[in-house]
Parts: sequence; structure tokens; C-alpha cells
Amino acid sequence: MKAQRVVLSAILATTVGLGAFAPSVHAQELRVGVLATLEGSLTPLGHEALRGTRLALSEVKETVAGRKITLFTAPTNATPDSAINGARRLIEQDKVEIIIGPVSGSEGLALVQFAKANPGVSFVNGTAAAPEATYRDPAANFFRFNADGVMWQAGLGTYAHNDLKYRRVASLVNDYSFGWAQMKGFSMEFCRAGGRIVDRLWTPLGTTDFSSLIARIPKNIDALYVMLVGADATNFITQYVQAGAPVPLIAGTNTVDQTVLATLTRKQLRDFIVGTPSASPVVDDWTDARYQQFVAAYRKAYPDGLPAPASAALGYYLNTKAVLSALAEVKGDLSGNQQKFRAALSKVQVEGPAGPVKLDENRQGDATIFLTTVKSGGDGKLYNSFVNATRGVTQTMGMDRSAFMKLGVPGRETVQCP
Amino acid sequence: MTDPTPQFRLWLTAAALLVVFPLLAPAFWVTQIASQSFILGTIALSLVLLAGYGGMVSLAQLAVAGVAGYFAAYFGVHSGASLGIPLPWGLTILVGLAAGIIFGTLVGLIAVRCQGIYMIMITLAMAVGLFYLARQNLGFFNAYNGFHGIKAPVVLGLDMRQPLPFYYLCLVCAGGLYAFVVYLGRTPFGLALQGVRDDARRMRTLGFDVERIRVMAFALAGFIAAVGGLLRLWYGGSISPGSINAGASITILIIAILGGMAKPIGAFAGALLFVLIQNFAIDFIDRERFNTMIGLILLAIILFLPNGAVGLAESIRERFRVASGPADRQPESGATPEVRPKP
Amino acid sequence: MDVKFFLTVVLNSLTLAALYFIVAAGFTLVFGLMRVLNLAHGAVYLLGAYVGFEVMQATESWLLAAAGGAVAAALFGVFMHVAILSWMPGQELRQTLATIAVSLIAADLMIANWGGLSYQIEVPDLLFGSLPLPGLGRYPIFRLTLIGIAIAIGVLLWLLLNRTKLGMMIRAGVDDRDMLAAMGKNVPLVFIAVAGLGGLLAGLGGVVGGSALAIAPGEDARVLLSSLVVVIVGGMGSVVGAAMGALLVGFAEQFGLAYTPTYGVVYTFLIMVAVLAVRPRGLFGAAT
Repeated sequence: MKAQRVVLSAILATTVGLGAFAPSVHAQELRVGVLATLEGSLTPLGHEALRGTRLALSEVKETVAGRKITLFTAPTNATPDSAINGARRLIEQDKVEIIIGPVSGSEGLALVQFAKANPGVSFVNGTAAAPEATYRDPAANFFRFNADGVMWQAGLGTYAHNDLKYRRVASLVNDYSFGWAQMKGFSMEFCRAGGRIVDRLWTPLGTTDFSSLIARIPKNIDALYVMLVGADATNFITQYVQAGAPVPLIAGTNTVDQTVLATLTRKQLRDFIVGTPSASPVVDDWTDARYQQFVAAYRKAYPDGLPAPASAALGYYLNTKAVLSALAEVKGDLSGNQQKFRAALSKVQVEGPAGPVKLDENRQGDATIFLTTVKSGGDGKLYNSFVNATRGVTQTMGMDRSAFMKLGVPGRETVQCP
Repeated sequence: MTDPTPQFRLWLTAAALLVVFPLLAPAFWVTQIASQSFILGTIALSLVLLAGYGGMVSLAQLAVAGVAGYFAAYFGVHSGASLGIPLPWGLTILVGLAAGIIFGTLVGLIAVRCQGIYMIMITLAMAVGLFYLARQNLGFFNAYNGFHGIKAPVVLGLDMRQPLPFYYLCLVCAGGLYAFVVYLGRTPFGLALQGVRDDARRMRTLGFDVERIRVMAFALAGFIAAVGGLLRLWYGGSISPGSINAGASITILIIAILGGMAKPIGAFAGALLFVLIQNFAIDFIDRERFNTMIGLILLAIILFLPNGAVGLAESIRERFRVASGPADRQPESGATPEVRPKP
Repeated sequence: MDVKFFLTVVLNSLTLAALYFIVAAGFTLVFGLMRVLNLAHGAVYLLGAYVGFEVMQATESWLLAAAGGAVAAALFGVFMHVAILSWMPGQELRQTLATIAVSLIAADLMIANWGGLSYQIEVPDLLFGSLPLPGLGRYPIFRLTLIGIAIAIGVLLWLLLNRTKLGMMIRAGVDDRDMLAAMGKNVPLVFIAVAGLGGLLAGLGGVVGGSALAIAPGEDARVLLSSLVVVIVGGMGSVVGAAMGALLVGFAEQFGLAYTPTYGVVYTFLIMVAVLAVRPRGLFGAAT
């Protein structure tokens, strides 16, 4: 009996005590959460993402309107549920008021829906690039200042057909939202220019064995459009070159991203990848003064980082800078369910490295997209070299909105020209 | 039969606390700790039913919960307009439960052909196979993305998405299923199941259809897991392949080990412990090292406390009882099964 | 498609089977002799891979990397046996649960140390690149080397099991453990040797896999599941069974991915479920 009374009292005391338990929040502190892929094949992008955010924060010395910004990081692994769990942890345990991120397309889609269920927190994108996050079912508290995956391919399809004279290609792409988006961006231009995509190979994120895919590459094509992210790209290029590299590549944005180029140390791999064309929101040797300033600041802050900032750094940098600008404008006032802050975010014009960025009615930013080709630098490293730039690329890629929607949501079969 | 009053009083107090607790505690505790514990505990209960009463360790219970969730997502309202057939929420629930029960029974039909560790392997294989199927299939499972923007229904004007109603929903489901499992343990079927666990050969010679009893257990466990799966779907608002991968399946096993597989309450004790550790371990170790901590706790339990937290609580209670004197020295009513390793 | 494609897929299957055989051989010996379903086997593989990578960074010698990885993994295997599993003799379920706990801890500590990045052990220049083969064009040299390594290991294992005293005791123990103890042989020592051998093979597999494919968190789970299927199909304790199982799984996976790419990954598990459902002890497994 005595034991039971002790146990009961303990339970009672704990229950009452729980009511009083609450983590204390410093009034002046601004709590910002960041989602980054620090596990899985997109880990290099996650590291790069954090570099981008920290660079933007260092520009304002981590303080806005007299309030110190405390950054909380939650790791994800490119899956939707990891992004949701990370965001939930940031909100519930770390009590953040703004979340920046995520890295990956499918994570972004899940996070938009999660944002709708959490109207008290503002969600600003990192570098997730699935278009549907803003044009199909947008959330009032989700903002994306970087371009989406379709936009990132602006110019590439046309260039591959008209300039490089590739007529027949096949594709090998990661099988998820971002891969589908990049495929749509490439194919809508390549097909329109008259090219033929004879076969589409899809592979899950995290593939390590590309042997069966390489075996399935059709024989009579001019080039292979490859869009693989992070470690997948490194592994593929290594195995492709070992298998004899039958045709040249056309690279999606992430395939020859610096996160991948920096890993290609072997001479045979470097010799092969030089000359590969791609399209991206970043470029490594553009002579524009403002852009060079960004590259120089990155290199100064991260001597152990990549040779030049990758798209993940740009995306996180841009979005973080937007948050800081809007916060400065409302003098750090996040009261009233963050209404003033969100209004400011919707209208703010961010001075990005490639030019000013503003949001459209779906809270999606426009962008300058670069056409690039891989070159070997004097220092022995690989770079994406400037070919040309397309300014003011919008989410509908310059098309009429209904015509663009008719092309369909990015998927495995979108925009066919077999 | 012991004097039921002290036990009964304990349960009554506990029930009262559970009913009153959400009215006092902050939302974080009500939803993230309590509701989540009920949900994970319910799914773990399906495993504890199979393992504790039936001697069968199935790593496919979370997959069963996942099947229920996926069907409810496809046949319900979610954010991806083009995929799925949205039904009224009553039908959605029925479809989800039915799918879970059917899949659970299917798992049982295949799994009961194996004993002991082979059953662990085959159920793990089925769970991981389902994960790959869900990740690759676009037409039903929506592949890598899964389903999002799912909300609990509004029932008779009561919005189940709000913390308090959702908590009480979880409490009623978990409590009801727990009572059901305890009751089941005393029915002829339950006793037959425990008999099969203890000595299948003898049961066979006594004329019991051992296969049928085992598959029936899987069907019941499938129902329990399906309920847990629906609650989990509403709790998270989404389901994707990552929700049913190997790690998630192992988590249910971890919860069952933490709490102890011998008694049904172990499922909920383990779930509560797990959720508490997950949320408050950061006070002691690097937040990112959660898996190491859980692994070490697990190892300690496996080595030193094979009956988990509930077993530990019972041995402490025994010690108090002995200390209190002969008046309380009465054996527990009803044989409480202990998980014994297969020889 | 065509003959060239078919032959390429056959070679892909053989190389994958080679990798699976190296890893699964150790798994099946431990399973067969000690009745321990070591679900930390994948973590042992990964540890061997990481250690091999570090040795490669330090010495630029692939052979030293292979040795380093194999030895580290062997030590891990022995440690697990001596410190944890041998305290629960005969309790298979409990031992299996313990190996799950160990795999959780090991995988997490490896992430803590090496992070989430994907690494690769550089293949020596001699083995990098492709060889023109009749009938199918160019094929990667290192993958062909893999087949050679697997055959060598298979032969060495056969010699060990059939021509040495230790091997004789292992085979006897797989058949009848109690008899082995009754005959007065030093059973605990044999167990330790097998635990070490299992780890050695897993670690070597890790270095080989880390050179042909990649080293990253998640590879341990993938390799473990494949090893499980191989051993289920091949039966526990049988090295020949492991070879048969590896071939079946390798071919099923590669042909599945090559001809029915969307669902190819699911085949491995369908096979496992089908085999266990029909023959619960595996195709080559002993009766009890």
C-alpha cells in the first residue's frame, strides 16, 4: 500500500510539474531554423547550403534591428518525412519563428503542406526546386526567392539542339520531383527545337550501382542528358568513364555542380567531363562585378569550401538575405502572426549576386540563368565557365500561363518527343 | 482471485489522470508527447500481442500500419488533387482499416510458415519490399513524394485536428485496444494462442488448428496496427516511403523491447519512454547522437532487463510487496506470460 | 533488347554476385555455426569500408587498405561476440535483438565520425578503365577483378573448411553443435575464430564494395538485406549455398533492373518471401 501511494504521488507530482515546465526564450533573441541535407547522397549540398546561409548572416553580423539571430540546424536526408520531422523539431523543441530550407525538391513539396498546417511560422525556401511548391498549390506562408528546377534549365535544350547539333538524345535522371522538373525544363526546349528524346532512364536517389543503367543506354544517340544529384553524379561519372563513356553528356544543373566537380580528382574523369554543357543559376567565372564580389566573399569565408559557390549556396544565401531584408524593414517585429513581416517579404527586392530578385503573386522569385560549359582552370580545378546568360526567367519560362500549365505537372512522362 | 481493490484503485487514478492531464498541460505535452505515445504504443501493441501472447516477433507491423495509412490517404482528401479517389471520411476510415487487416492477414499467412528468427527475417523482408514498392510505384503510392496535406476529419462539429479532441481520440483508441488485448488474453482464443506459444506440438496433438490460431492472431494484430496507422496519418498529415522504411519498422521493435513484450502495457510504456528520450535526450547528449543513446539503452535492457521497463517496474513492486509484509503476499491473478527464448 | 545487352547484364550479375558472395559467406558461417543472426553484419561491412578508405588515404596502397579494412572488421566481429553475444548462449532471439542494438550504435558512431558524405576507395590505375571483350564491347576492368577476387576467396574458404582442422570443427559444429562440445574440442575458441572470419570477410567485402560502388551511410542496410536474402536462399552454414544464393540474387537484381527497371528492386524481396514460404529453412539449409 505504501509503495502504491508513493508511486501515485510521484505520478501526480510529475503531472503537475509538467504544466510548469517550459523552455525559456530570450526576448531579444530571434530564433531561425535551417533545414539542410546532412545525411544521404545530398550531403554535399547540405554543407554548401549552410555555407550560403552563414554567409548572408555574417554580412549583417548575425543581428537585425538590434535582435541577435540564433540559428538552429535540423538535418534531413532528401526524403519528405525527414523534412517534416526536422521542421517539427525546430518548431516544437527549438521554438523557431522562421524556417529556411529545405534543400531537396520533394522535401520542399512536403514542407509547403506542412507550412499550411503551421500558419504561425514563416517558411522561406532554401534551394528546393520542385515547381509545384509555388505554382500549383502555394501556401500563404511559404516564400521562394530562388528559381525552380524547370527554370534552371532555361536555354540548355535549345543550345544542345541548335548549337551543339545534338539531334537524338536519351536521358538518365534521378526519379523524384527535382529530377522530373529538370527533365521538363530540358525537354520542353529540346523537343520544341526539333530534337528527339528516344529513351528515358530513371533511377532512385542514392543509387550506387549504375551498371544496369549504363547497359541500357541506347546505342545510336548523339548525347546523354544526365541529371543526378550529389553522390549519385560522382558515382555515375566514375562508372560511366570506366565503362568507356560511349557518348558525351548534357548535364542538368546538379550533375556538374561544384559539389560534384570538386570530387572528380582522377585524371580520366576530369578529361572526360571537360566541355560538358549545363545550365544553372550559378557560374564560376562571370566577369560581372557584383557576381564576382559574391564569389570572392564566399572564397574568403570558406577557404576549405568548394572552388566556387554552388547553386545550393546561392539559393540559401538569397533566401536568407531576403529574410534579413524583410526583418530589417519591419524592425524585427514578428508580432500579429507575422503579418507585417510576411507583407514585407512579399514585396522586398533582394539584391542577389546575379541581379535583383522579386516575388510574383505565388511568392516565387524570378532569376538569371547561365549557360555553362566545364573548363579546367589554371589551378588544376574544374569550373563551370560562362557561355551566356538569360535574364528575367520566370516560372512559366516566358510562356503564357495556361499554355505552360498544359505541358503538365513534372513527372516521368512530361513533354514527350520520342 | 486477489482482492481487486488496490489494483482497481490504481487503474482508476491513472485513468482519471489521463483524462484530466491535457486540460492542465501545455499543447506540446498533449500532442507531441502524449498523443504520439498513444499512437506509437498502439502500433507496438500489435507487435506485443504477437510476440508476448503468440511468441512471434513480426517486423512487419509498421508496414501494416503503413498500408492502412496509404489506403486512407489515397481514398481520402489530400493536397495532390489529381491522384486518388476522395471518399467521405467514414468510408475512408473503413477502407484504411480493411486494407490493414487484409495486409496483416496476408503477412500472417506467409510468416507463420517460419519460426523464430526466420520469422523476423521474412517479416523484415516483406516490410522492406513494401517500402521499395511504395517508392517505385507512381500510380497508387505516388512514389517518392507520397501524400501530404491530410487532415483528421471533423466529426459532429468537433474538429479532430485540434490538440484536445485528437488527444481524447487517441486515448479512447489506445485504451480501448489495450483493454481488448488484455481481455483477449483471457478468452479461449487467447489462452489457445499462449498455449501455441508455449508448446505448439502439444496443442496440435490436442486437436487445435495451430496455423489458424496464428494467422488469426496476425489478423487481429493487423486491425490494431491499422488503427495506429490511421492515427499516425492524421497526426503527421502525410505519408511517404520514408514513413515505412526499415528504420521505422525497427523503431516499433525498439519500443516493444523498451517497454517489455511480456505484457500489453509494455507497448505504451515503451512508447512513452521512447518519445521522452527522443525529446529530452538533448539535455544530456548531442541531439544528433540519439541513435547511439537508444542503442545503448536497448543493449542494456537486452542484456540485463529482458522484460523491459514493465518487467523492471514489476520487480521493483515485488520488492516493495515483500518489504510490506505477509498481508500483501498474494500472487497476481491470471497467468501473465513471459517471453521466453525458443529452445 | 539484343545479345550485347544480354551479355553485359550477365557480367553485371556475376560481379554483383561476387560482391554478395564475399559478404554473405561470413554471414552464413556465423549463422550456421553459432546460430546467430548477426544483423550488425552490414555495420561490420561499412566499418571495413571506412577503415579501408582511411588506410588508402594514408598509404595509397589498395592492398594495405583491403588488409586494414578486413582486420578492423574482424576485430569488431570478435569484440561483438566476446563482449555481448557470448553472454546469451543459445538465446537466438535475444542475440538477434542485441545485434540490432549494436548496428544502431555502430551506424550512428560512423556517421558521427565520417559524416554523411559519400566516399570512394580509389581503384589502382592498373585496374581503372575498361577492357574490350568479345561480344559486348568494353567492360570495366575492376568489375572483372571482382569476379576473380570472389573465386579466390571461394577457393580459400573451401580449402579452409575441407583441408584444415579448424575447418573440420566448423563443419562438424554446423552439423551438430552439441556433439562438437561433447568431443572435447575447444568450442569457444572455434566460435571466436568464426566470428573473426565472418568479420574479416565482411570487411574485405566493404573495401571491395567501396572501390566498385561507394561508401556511405545506408550502404550497411542495403548490404545486410541482400546478405539476408542470399543466406535465406542458400541456407545457413553452407558456403556453397552462399555462392548459389549470391548468384540467384545477383542475377535477379540485375536482370530485374535491366529489363523491368521500375520494380526491379522489389524482386530480391519477392524471392526471399517466396523461398521462405515454400522452404522455411532455405534452399540448401539443413533440416534443423
